[in-house]
Amino acid sequence: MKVSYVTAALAAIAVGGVVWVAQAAPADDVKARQAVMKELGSNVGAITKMLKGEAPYDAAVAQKSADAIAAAAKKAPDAFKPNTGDAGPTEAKATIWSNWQGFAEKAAALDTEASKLADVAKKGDQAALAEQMKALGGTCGACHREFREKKS
Amino acid sequence: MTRFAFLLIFVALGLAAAPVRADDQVARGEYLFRAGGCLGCHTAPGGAALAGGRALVTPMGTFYGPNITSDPEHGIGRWTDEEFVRALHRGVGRGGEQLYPVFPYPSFTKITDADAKAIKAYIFTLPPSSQPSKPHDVPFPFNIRLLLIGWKWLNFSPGVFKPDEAKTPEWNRGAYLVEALAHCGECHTPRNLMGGIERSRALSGTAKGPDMKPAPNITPDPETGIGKWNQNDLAYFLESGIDPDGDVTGSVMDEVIQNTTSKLTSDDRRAIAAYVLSLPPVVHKVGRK
Ligand code: HEC
Ligand code: HEC
Ligand code: HEC
Repeated sequence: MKVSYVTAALAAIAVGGVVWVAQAAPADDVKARQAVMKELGSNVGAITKMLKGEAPYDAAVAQKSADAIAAAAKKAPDAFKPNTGDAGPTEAKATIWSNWQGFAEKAAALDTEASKLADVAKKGDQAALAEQMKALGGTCGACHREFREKKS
Repeated sequence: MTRFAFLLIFVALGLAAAPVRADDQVARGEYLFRAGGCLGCHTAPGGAALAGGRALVTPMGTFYGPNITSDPEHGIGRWTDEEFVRALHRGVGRGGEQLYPVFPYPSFTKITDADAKAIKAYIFTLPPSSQPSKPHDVPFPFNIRLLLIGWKWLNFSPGVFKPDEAKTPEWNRGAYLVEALAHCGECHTPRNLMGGIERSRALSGTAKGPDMKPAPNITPDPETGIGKWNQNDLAYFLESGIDPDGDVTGSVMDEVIQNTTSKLTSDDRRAIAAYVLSLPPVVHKVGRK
């Protein structure tokens, strides 16, 4: 019992600490939200590699990656909260904060398709996974088109 | 007897083909229309299909894709097949006026006559719109259409695509799609000071691409282009927008993929990829890369 109080307290401090650090250092916020995006990217990459036949299809890897995408998708809108600004090198457009409603809708679409992806991955049907990957990719592209200015 | 059999076959084929032919042409036209990306430039965001009004920002000013629906007054309803083919092949309007190369006729000149006519047949099955075309917002001296004669003389080489017999059918199909219809080069190829395409540096990227934003080098140079991509990677990207790193493209390329390349057959996407990756690699750094 006592142990779990201690754990909870430690966890609270840890979480509080993270939140505090995040608010104090906008540059880290930029990195944090980019980390969420990179997490999406690397897992999308892992699945598409198998769909393209570059790597043997492995249902367990597909499942793990799809779960990671679904988890990262849940973090997407909050990672861009208004106080996270645009300090540091960023590809985020200012319209994210002037049109937060529109941005949140794109993030919600990502969340919906990412959860479906995790469900589809559980069934182990490769063709269905390929279809759902395209639906997911559509939500990434729709948000990038409106709210990201690629500096390439 | 044999002659009679031949005759029968002939009649059977003729009967079967005659009613189907028009539909066939329309279906083929629809496919080619998508490959040519006509919809995007000729449709305002949220507006009626092909009714015009889409702004195209260039160093010479802002152009607006005109109404090309079959409306006789405000669209191209009165155009003959020949006039339509001439516009695509020569960049000349119905009244003989010179057309601006924002309309990618430097690529469309390579479309075969039959394909161009099929595109028109398809367009004429779509609902007409009586929305007047929006005048271009182009300052002097670029607003003088006659100057385009000089521009064409220096920058435009008309001529239908000629297959290279030494190459595979897949390569030739890819070359036709890329150079004639999908006009990848209109965005990805650098331009000279007059806005002419620099053929020698085809697809090597430009800092001032569509809407004055960069378009990357897509020649197979491993450092500054897409030399690390294979045919699967590029074909999959053209289908989904997802690149080999799992990043997803946005901007106008997303539109190209949604409207054009994702609508092609997978064989055609593979053909495009085979052709693009067979081009000579050009070292040309655009932006960050
Ligand atoms: C709700 C909007 C939105 C959605 C949906 C979205 N992204 Fe992003 N993404 C952004 C923004 C904004 C940036 C630029 C962030 C920055 O630079 O601060 C970005 C950047 C990225 C980056 C570059 C990260 C870096 O800095 O290296 C990758 C990779 C990426 N996204 C992948 C994805 C993938 C894959 C998906 C879909 C599974 C996706 N994104 C969905 C908004 C979104
Ligand atoms: C990159 C944008 C773009 C694309 C793609 C495009 N067009 Fe156009 N088109 C234009 C612009 C801009 C004009 C007006 C040119 C001018 O006023 O000189 C035009 C003019 C035309 C005209 C002449 C209209 C007139 O009233 O004189 C026709 C016909 C036409 N386009 C057909 C097509 C077809 C068919 C396709 C697809 C195969 C296509 N366009 C694709 C931008 C585009
Ligand atoms: C209307 C202009 C336009 C047309 C037409 C176009 N592209 Fe693009 N393309 C772009 C832009 C802009 C980007 C950069 C996208 C971004 O910032 O995410 C791009 C990105 C790409 C990339 C990603 C390169 C990289 O390094 O990540 C590839 C590959 C590509 N295009 C291939 C093609 C092919 C093949 C065609 C013809 C079938 C084509 N594009 C037609 C504008 C265009």
